[in-house]
Amino acid sequence: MLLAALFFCLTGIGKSNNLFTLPQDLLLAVKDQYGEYAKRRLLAWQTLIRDNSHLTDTAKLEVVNTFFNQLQFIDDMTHWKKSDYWATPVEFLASGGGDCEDFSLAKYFTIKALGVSEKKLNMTYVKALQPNQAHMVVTYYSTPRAIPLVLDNLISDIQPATKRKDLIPVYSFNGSGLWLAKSRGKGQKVGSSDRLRRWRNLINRMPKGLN
Amino acid sequence: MTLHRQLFIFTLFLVSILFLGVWVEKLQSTRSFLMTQLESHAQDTATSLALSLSPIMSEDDIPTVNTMINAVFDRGYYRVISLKDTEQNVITERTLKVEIEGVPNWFIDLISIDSPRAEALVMTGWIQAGVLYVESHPGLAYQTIWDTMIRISIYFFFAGLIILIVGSRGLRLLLRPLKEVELQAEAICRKEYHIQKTLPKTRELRHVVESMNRMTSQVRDMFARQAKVAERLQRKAYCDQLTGLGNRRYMNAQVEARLAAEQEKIQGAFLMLQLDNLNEVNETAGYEAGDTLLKKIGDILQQETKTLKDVALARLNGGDFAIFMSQVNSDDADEIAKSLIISVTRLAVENISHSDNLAHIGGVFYEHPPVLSKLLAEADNALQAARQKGPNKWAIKQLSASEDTTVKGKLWWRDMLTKVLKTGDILLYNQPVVRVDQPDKILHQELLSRIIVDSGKIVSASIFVPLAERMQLTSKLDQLVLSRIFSQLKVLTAMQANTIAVNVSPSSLTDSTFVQWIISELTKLPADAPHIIFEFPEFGAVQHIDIVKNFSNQVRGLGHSIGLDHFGQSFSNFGYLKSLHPEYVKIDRGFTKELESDHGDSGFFIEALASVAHSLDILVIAEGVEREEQKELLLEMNIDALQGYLFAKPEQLKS
Repeated sequence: MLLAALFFCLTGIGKSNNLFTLPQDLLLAVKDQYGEYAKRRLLAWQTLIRDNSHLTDTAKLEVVNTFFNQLQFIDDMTHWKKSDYWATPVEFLASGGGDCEDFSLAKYFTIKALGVSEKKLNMTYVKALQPNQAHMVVTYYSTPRAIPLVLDNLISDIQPATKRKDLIPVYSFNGSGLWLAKSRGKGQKVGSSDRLRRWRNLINRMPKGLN
Repeated sequence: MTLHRQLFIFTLFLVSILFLGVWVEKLQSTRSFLMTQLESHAQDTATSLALSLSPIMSEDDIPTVNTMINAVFDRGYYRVISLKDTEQNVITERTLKVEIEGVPNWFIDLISIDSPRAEALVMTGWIQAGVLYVESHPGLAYQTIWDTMIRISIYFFFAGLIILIVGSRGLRLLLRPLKEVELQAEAICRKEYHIQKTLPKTRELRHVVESMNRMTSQVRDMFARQAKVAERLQRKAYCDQLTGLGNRRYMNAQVEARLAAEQEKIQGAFLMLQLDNLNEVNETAGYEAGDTLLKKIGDILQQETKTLKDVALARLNGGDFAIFMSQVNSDDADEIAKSLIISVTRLAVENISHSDNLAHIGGVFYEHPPVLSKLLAEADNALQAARQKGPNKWAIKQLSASEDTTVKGKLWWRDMLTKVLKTGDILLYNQPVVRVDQPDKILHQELLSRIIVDSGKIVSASIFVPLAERMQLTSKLDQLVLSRIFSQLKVLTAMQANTIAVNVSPSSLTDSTFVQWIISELTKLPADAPHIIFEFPEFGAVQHIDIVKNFSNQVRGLGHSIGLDHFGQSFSNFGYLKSLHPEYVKIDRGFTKELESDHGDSGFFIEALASVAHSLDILVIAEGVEREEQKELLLEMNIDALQGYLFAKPEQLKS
């Protein structure tokens, strides 16, 4: 229920003039579990999405990257007592921290909510050299063949990929193909694909973390 | 349509619906599952191939890219693998035509699997080099769905078959009580009363069966009551209420029956006892004293004849009593007359109110086949003779053959009948039986046979048949009459006699060759031949009940039937009617004759007989209707048809 509401907000914001609004009971639940500051973080996020849709793509990236990079990096095992847990933006903000995937997903959805085309956004698996570990970042392509901008939680600034010698790209996937098949086919639902499994897990788990 | 069939079809319908539901559901789920599989398969391939291609694309080594794509594509599980650059220009593409073997086209059209398309980015470092599209080949999916559907159809076919076979058996078992009820009802129509002893366990059916059983037993009781009433009336009709002896009708029947039953040795005596001064007693001492006297006389008659083997006693009317004794010689007859007179005279001594001259007895002793009217007349003569002798006397006369003009010697008759049988010289007459409500509508024509004796006189069957019976010539005589009738069927058809009745002696049926002959003749009859009713006198039919019943079943199987005449003369109960099931009964003309004279006794009896017969679906015909008054009375008695001079005399059949 909760995510469904959130989901609509996130996807619907670009198309309509309705203001992005987090449900009141969600805010109360977050406040109960994570405290007043968690609620404020969510309200700040709401304001960010409401106020910045007029900016250029680069400016939007800047605002979002700066906003989320204020949060703490917490390893999944310490944070959620599970390895490789994908948190929703709400969970991420409410708990006040997450790992690289949580940063990337939150940035990705927020940028998209601000009206940046999905086609320009990729999620990229990279290998970080310092520290030597698997990592994930959001990449922005102004044109399909362009050198992307990298939104990373390891450093605070957005830099072109060519400047990031500390990251080795491994694999990219396009968010549009990732979680909705609506861009393709004849409007019919293709079925519950493995591609959606992560997201389904997300949907199923999220209310538990908040109620 | 039978209930069984309806339930069967309903079950079939339900099974089909179930099958269709399961079939569609299975189709959907299999299809959905397979599409998910195809999708993930395509996506996995796209992802892993894109990962493998990325380093090679960085070196711009298109031949290796092609080789790698071929290596994956040639496994045959893909419809399309295509690599496009970021501007959607095709770098390399492999497609496989969709050819599906062993799956009919209509099925492919019906389920139409859209093979899902998966995509993955191919990177050269940070830069997007292109997109890899993969579509799985749907052939295997179609094949899998088709096989699944075939399997499930076969399973359902056999499951359905088992359900229908077992269900049909079960239904039959379940509905058997209804079938039994049906048979029960049909049996009631045939006046047979079956009770179902085992009650079905199904509650509704059990109620039906119980109700049916109740109804059956009530109908049976009703019939039994009705028959009992008729039997009581019958006894009344033959009984003198005052003395408990028989009445005139009883005496007539007894004499005729006993004379007919006697075979070789013909001898016996008929006595009449006449009170001389009954009127005097009635007038001086009152009717009560008169009745007492009559009762005493009745007691004496019973007392004195107690030891005799075969005797019939009756009060004919007023102070006239009759004693009929077969199997006695003339000395016995004399002895009995004497002892009767002595006993009666003693009455006068006991009671001074009676005059000395109390009664006379006149009697005849016979050694030749007599006729009742002759016996009565001669006994009356003897009575006059006894009266001449003085008070309380008796006289017995010998009845000689020469005194009876009709009754010739036995040898004379044997010669006569043998001659008739040889020459076939027999005359056929017909007399119609008409419906009560429509006197112009003929129910059937009764055919009567007559013979011409030497003197040129025409003798009717009622005379010569009893004689033929004694000489055991009836089967031959009946065969002669019947073959004559069979040869004249055209004449009968011409006079539009659709139904004819012919008289047959029950004793003829003991001759099995005669019966076989009739049956074979009947089977040979043309399709338009009249319906034949074989008419038997009730008394004889009851004597030979088993043979007649058998015969009735045989001819009924051939579309013909039997009838009974002289109905009401026999003393047996009416139970036999049920098993014999004649088409009609003709009430004895004796009852018709007495209709106007006996103040309703006969009428009452006829009505009772009619109601018994009607309860068995048997028509009732009154014969010997001669006067309009009789007809009027009969009309009130629920009679179906009439026969007699009033409507038509017997006429010789024109050949």
